[in-house]
Amino acid sequence: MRRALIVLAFIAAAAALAPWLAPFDPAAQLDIVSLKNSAPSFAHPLGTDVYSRDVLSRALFGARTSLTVSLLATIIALVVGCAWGLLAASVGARFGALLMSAVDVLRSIPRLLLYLGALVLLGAMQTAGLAVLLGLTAWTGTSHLVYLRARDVQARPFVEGARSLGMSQWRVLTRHVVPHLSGPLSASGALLLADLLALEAGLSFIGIGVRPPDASWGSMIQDALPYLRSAWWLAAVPCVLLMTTVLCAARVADQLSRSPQSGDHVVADPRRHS
Amino acid sequence: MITLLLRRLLHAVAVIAVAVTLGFALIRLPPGDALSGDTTQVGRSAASRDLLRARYGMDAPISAQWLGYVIGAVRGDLGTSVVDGRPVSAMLGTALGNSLVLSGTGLLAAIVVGTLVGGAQGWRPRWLPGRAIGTALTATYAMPEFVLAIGLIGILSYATGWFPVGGMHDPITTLTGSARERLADLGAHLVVPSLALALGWGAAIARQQRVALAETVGTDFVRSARAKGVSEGGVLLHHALRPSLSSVTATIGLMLPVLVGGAVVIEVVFAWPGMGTLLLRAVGQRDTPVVSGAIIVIAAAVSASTLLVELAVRALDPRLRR
Amino acid sequence: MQITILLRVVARVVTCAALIACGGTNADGTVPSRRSVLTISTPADADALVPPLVGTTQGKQAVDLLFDFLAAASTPLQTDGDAGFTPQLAASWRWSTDSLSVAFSIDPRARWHDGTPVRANDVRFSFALYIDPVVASPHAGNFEGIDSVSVRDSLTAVVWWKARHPEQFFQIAYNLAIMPEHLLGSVRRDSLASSAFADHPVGSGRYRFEQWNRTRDLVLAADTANYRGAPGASRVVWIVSADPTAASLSVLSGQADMIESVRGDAFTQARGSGSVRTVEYGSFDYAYLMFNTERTVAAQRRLFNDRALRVALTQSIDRDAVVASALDSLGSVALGPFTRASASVDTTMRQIEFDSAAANRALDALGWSGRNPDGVRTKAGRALEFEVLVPSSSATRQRVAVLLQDQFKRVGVQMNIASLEPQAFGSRLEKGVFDAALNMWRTDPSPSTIRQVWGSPNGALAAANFGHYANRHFDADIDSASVTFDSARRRVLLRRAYQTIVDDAAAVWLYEPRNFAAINNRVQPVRMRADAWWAALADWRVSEPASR
Repeated sequence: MRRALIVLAFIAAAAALAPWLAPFDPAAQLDIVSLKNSAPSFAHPLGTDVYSRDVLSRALFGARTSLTVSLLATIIALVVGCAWGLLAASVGARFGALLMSAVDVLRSIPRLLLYLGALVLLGAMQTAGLAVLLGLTAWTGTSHLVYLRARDVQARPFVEGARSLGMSQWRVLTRHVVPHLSGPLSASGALLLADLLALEAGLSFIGIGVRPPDASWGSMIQDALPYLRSAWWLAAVPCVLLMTTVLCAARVADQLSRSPQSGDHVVADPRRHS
Repeated sequence: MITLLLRRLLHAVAVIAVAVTLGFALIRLPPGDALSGDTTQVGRSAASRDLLRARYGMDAPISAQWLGYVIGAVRGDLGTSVVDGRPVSAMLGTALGNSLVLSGTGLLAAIVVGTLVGGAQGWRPRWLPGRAIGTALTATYAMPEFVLAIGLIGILSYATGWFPVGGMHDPITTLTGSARERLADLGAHLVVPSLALALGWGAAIARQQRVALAETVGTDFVRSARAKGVSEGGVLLHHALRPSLSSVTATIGLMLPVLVGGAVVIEVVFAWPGMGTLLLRAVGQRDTPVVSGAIIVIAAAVSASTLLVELAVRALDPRLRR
Repeated sequence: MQITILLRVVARVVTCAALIACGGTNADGTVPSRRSVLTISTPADADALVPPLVGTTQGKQAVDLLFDFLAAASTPLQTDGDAGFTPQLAASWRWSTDSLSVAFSIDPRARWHDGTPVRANDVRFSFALYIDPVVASPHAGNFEGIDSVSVRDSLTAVVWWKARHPEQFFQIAYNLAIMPEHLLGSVRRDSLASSAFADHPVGSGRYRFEQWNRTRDLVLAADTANYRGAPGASRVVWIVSADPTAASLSVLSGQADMIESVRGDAFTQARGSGSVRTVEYGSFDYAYLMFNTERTVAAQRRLFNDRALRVALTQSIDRDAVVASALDSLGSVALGPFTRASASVDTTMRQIEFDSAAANRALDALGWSGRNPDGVRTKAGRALEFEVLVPSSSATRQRVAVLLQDQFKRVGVQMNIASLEPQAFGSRLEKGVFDAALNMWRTDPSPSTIRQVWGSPNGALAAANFGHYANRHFDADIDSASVTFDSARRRVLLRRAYQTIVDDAAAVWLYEPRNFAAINNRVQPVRMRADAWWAALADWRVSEPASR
């Protein structure tokens, strides 16, 4: 797991520093006649694409976009899910069950469908909107986890004791429940990150994700497909980067979900979302 | 049992109600009404548009319109496409059928692959080939599905020419072929896309299977079965696989929304005429009735299948039966 | 032991599945009924199969095979007089002495696909259908100048013109597809597109309609008892492949037999393939960035009413570089609303040259001197920004759009790209709901058809003038050119007209592609005309497939 974390951190750092690391503007078409689909060279370590844009710069900015969207979406999903789960755990057994069955109802509608519905309404989407929408459709699993955990913790004797001493529900939550959430939340978060990364890439690939000329690994792969024979590196670079990042995130999630902290609630696998 | 069924039915009704409301909201939310966006209506005078509005009940209050939409949905009338005026329910019916064929085959293949691999890994954790395949499965599982799909097309369809490049059927065979030829044609078109799905889903099932099997390996009843002299295969089949089947079924239950709703990216890459491609085109053309109808149909289908899976889980796991 | 049973069951299932998957094919890899079928891979579906309603080339391909015309144009296409035409539905024809009418004698052997004989009534009916304003056919303007069609007897139809002009015969023979009155006569004219005939058209051509799965495939079957002889291929199938790359791939892998246009990697692969070859055919196509110059919409919304702005935008594009990048050597820069293959071409015409310094100066002078944080020019708070529509079925135009976007960015103009399905693209163009669009037009040698695309918006006459370009002098020159019999004078008039429209910067004339089709070696095409490569499709030979 440590190796996976290191790789992830490296990619994240490169993405964050993209504006300073990238040698060229990712959307700049440098010389559309002679620099089209040029092989990796000294001036362009990863070559140029069909519009003579530097692939290294695009890969860096693509990392930035993809990671930002996925991270933002993950955070939104975690926050909303956590809040909902805690609320359900605090309002008593009956209302709590009601709230959670509302979550179940929402979960029955495939989230890609919700995303497509929003797209039909709003037309094209800005990158920020994409992140928000992805996050708002991915929080159901987290809320379930949080609800179960919070209920568990609240049933323990020391919480009962604290209550009998007059501690308010809010303090019970913040003092005793929340610290126990770190395990399942981190496992869930890592899994969500891997999942949302792949989802964003897939959406950009079929054209309804990040809008061009913003770079995204998914759209870079889509652009590169007609040239697989003559310029294979155009597809290989974003493919390798995407797979590495997703694999590392998945590995981290795997390890975290197996740790004793996450408890015996198996992290429900929301993947293979589509 | 009855209470469970009732609770699940209530849940299904709730899901469909939410879906219908969402679908209705989608149609009515944008400014103006369906007639202003309808491309077949442009050019008609304001007077004739008012007439049409009255005829379609668009000047009724919102609550009446919502009720009308609900009743229509229950009766199977989901409106007509904004682009070409064809009935939405017919379009969705065909697309759903095609999606189910693909997802069903993919799921079947995933179950076979996942159960075998996961079973081998759980039962014999140190068996090297099992571990190798398991690692390969994890890699394909982490790989974004369109990358996997493109790779498979490249190898199986283009480089070797064994399988067709995309689509669901060959129009000539559909027209002139015998039933057997048509089935063979469908099969040939199914192989690569369902393989792409299976490699992705199989790993999830394999993992579930491995965990479940590993749990039961060390339990008492297995040990006593072995002590009784039951063969290794018998122990595996009768005592260990049974409870793990229920957790595998539960995993499948989690994947139901994808199964029913169509694996959009895979369908697009393989040009499979299912729900995924239909929805993508509808979104591109702002064909709201189709998207709304899809939400309802898929939500209903997911509820129905969730109920079936729940029943199956309870049937398979003796611990949960009452 | 039980586990071995399980494994055996699994093995059997797998082998069954494999057998099913492979069992339907022959040793050479083809399905038996497929031998003489011609499969065409196409990026867009036909929009309609009723001749007056067809707008896309895919629809035209099918319609030209399903329906007959009075006479068939030869290769290469000649539009003056009737020398370039051979009998098709009309076995012979006779000009009147004043050349204001032509009497066509219908071939008595001609039959509709349902067996009914073709009569002169059908010719009169077809003409009425095309020009009926309720039908609102985009081709109605092509029949301008024809007074009427009358019936002399059951097999003789007479076409009457109001005045003589050189393209009389071309006008009626090239544009009028003959449709069955006994099937279409009772259909409501305003709902032609949703009639039963539209779903199952009946013509008299050498192919009959078999099946149409919209957006997926279209199948025509040979009319073996046709009066003009059975066609070469037993079936023609168009398979729609939304992704241009997948469309080329299916031809290269042998799944389809031809695709009408290959470029880039697919072109190189087709050149080097042993089973597929590239065939070049003439091109009458030109692509352009069309500006919507309609004046009736609220003035502050429209950008392109101002000629100076259009000229500045044209000056900011390095067309040579764009064409070299997008098309390599497979195309040239377009000079105007015509192609180098037309007789009236003038390569010495005055063009608006690439000059970004001049463009910047002009934009500043027009008041667009402010800049917003993204570097886009602004004027009184409004950014110089517009949206261009591009059809998703054309890979080349998608590419050109991205190149143009960058070129405009350099002078501070923001161009947003909206990629639409072909159907949605066409619909937006017709309704005029666009700022700019990357369109491609397939023209023909006739100078009068230029009026259809660039003549003043005048109801049916200029049905394809989506950008609402209007210039009286241009109209006058085109009209004069179309009625004069003196070819030298016609050339002068047309060149003057072309210069007018180029000076007006009605559009940015982008490229003329060289057309290369990728065709499987088992297909022998004949007479691929530049304006319609499918013109003689019924005579193409489809032989036994070679080994894969």
